[in-house]
Amino acid sequence: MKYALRWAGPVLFVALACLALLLSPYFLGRLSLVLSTGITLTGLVLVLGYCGQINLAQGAFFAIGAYAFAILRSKYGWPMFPALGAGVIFASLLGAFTGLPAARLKHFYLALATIVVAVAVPPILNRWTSLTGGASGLLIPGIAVPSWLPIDHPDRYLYLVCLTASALVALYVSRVLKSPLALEMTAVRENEVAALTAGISPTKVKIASFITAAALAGLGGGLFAQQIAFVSPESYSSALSVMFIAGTIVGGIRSLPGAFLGAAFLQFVPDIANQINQSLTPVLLGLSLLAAIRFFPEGPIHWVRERRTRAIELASTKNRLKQRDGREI
Amino acid sequence: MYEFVLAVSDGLAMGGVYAALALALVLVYRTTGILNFAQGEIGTVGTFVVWSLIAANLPIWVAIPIGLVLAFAVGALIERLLIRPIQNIDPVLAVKNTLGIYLVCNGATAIIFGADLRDFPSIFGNKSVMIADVPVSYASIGMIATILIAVICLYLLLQKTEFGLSLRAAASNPVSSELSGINTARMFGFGWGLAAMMAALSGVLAAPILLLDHNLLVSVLVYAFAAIVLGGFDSLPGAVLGGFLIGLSETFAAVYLPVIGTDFKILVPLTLVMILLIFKPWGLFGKAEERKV
Repeated sequence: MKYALRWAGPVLFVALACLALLLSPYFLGRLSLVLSTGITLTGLVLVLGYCGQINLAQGAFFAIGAYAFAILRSKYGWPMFPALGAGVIFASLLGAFTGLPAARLKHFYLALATIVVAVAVPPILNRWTSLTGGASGLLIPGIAVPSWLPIDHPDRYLYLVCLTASALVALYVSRVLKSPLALEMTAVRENEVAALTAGISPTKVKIASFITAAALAGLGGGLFAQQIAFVSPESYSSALSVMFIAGTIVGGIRSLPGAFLGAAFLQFVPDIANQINQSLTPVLLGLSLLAAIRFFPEGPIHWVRERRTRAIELASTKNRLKQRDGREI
Repeated sequence: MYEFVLAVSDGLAMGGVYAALALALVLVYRTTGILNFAQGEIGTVGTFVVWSLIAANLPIWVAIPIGLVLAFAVGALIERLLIRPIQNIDPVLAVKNTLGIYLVCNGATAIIFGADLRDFPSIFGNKSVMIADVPVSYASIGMIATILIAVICLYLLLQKTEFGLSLRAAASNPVSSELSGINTARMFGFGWGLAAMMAALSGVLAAPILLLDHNLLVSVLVYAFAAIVLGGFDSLPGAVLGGFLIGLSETFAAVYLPVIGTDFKILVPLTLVMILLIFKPWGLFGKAEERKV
């Protein structure tokens, strides 16, 4: 079992990579959007799920990552990978800037500080026309497929990039979740004062989780922007952060695969909802969020897993009783 | 002078709107210890109820009280159905729940009433009175007066009646008050109901100025958050004062710093609040929190 689990990740990765040759470029593009959103949501899994801090600025960090990426790509002609790195750095800086003044306070103040950032970023993007292109946005140049890859379409290549990035992020986050930092984050979530008496600095833990989340949002934002090939302020409104939180909760607030599940939810639910009414998307998201919190607060994946474990336990108990008593119960 | 008086009256009027919603947030925070992100949307729903009643040819003086009572019922119902079941498990979970309520209310009002802006009549008419040679509208004066009356009523209810005493007791120590025979569950529901009523009042006051649509109180909620940070999370007078200060700083910035414009003016009070937080982390009136482990 353990052996199988160790190989589950790489096998899944190879299987998903093979999709790059099988699916249409359009659908692969959609999957790239899912993956880049998923990377952003893993940040929320850390900060919201493990550290228990309400972060309404994840959309703003995402926007900064996307805009830093777009500006460097289109105005300064940077290649994709360095621009992605710059997006991560700018988003982390904003994360530090958000976390530093408010992290020493009780958590609702930190939540309010994130609201300030979420509200501040869209009008700044709109106003700083010389840099951001204002309301008309910025076009991002396309990418070239490297010659050594047997691929015909840049969307297929970008999908592979997003997949690799997601795999690396998943690897990194699962490492973080096994590190003492995860325990410290849980302690801060459960009881800050108790954590403090156990020698943990809640401020440091909160800032660390904030910066990590922001960095992941920066990476996701850059990849997302490259897939859309365009950034404009209206696609990064402050409502985005609420959507991200909803996606994370629906996927499973402390679940790494759940983050990608939630991202798929965010990506595909509007397709269905928009056929009926454009405002149906927030209603569906909100209802799913309420249902998720009420019925499976740890997420659907955990829920299914728990059901299965229970079924297995029940079966083995029945089996034992049968052997002991020699009859069915 | 002309600009100054106008800025003061407009600032106080908008401040009243923010104060009403800030009061709602404080009521919810004091009774159930959570931050209600759906507070603005609950108020918007109440405002739409009032609008529908007016559209059904009811006079506005009848429509508003009915709307407020219905808003009370909605607030109490939300507390009963969506907050209480998970409140005891994890308050942060309840906060996340309010984000869900926010999304549902916002989307549902957009679906039911459409996404276009609509006019909303003011209770106070559109006449004005001359103060120091400046026409100050009845609406501004009426809004300020309404909020002050609401605050005084709330104050009397919470501080001078036995019912208010039970409400405060239930909020500050649920277990002990339950043991001394207070129905705490009903008190929490009542707190949420009162909050919803204040939110609806805020919506009714804001709608003639901002025009009614499903996003009516979204930005007002941000100002209200800023107001409770200024006033300290749990202080009712602090919330009112915070609301008025935020309203004043916003209009003064818009009048005297034209660079700021409509899209940036929301940042002025927020920046002020962030700076204040660095020096006075618990707000102007809040007390540093102590907590048992």
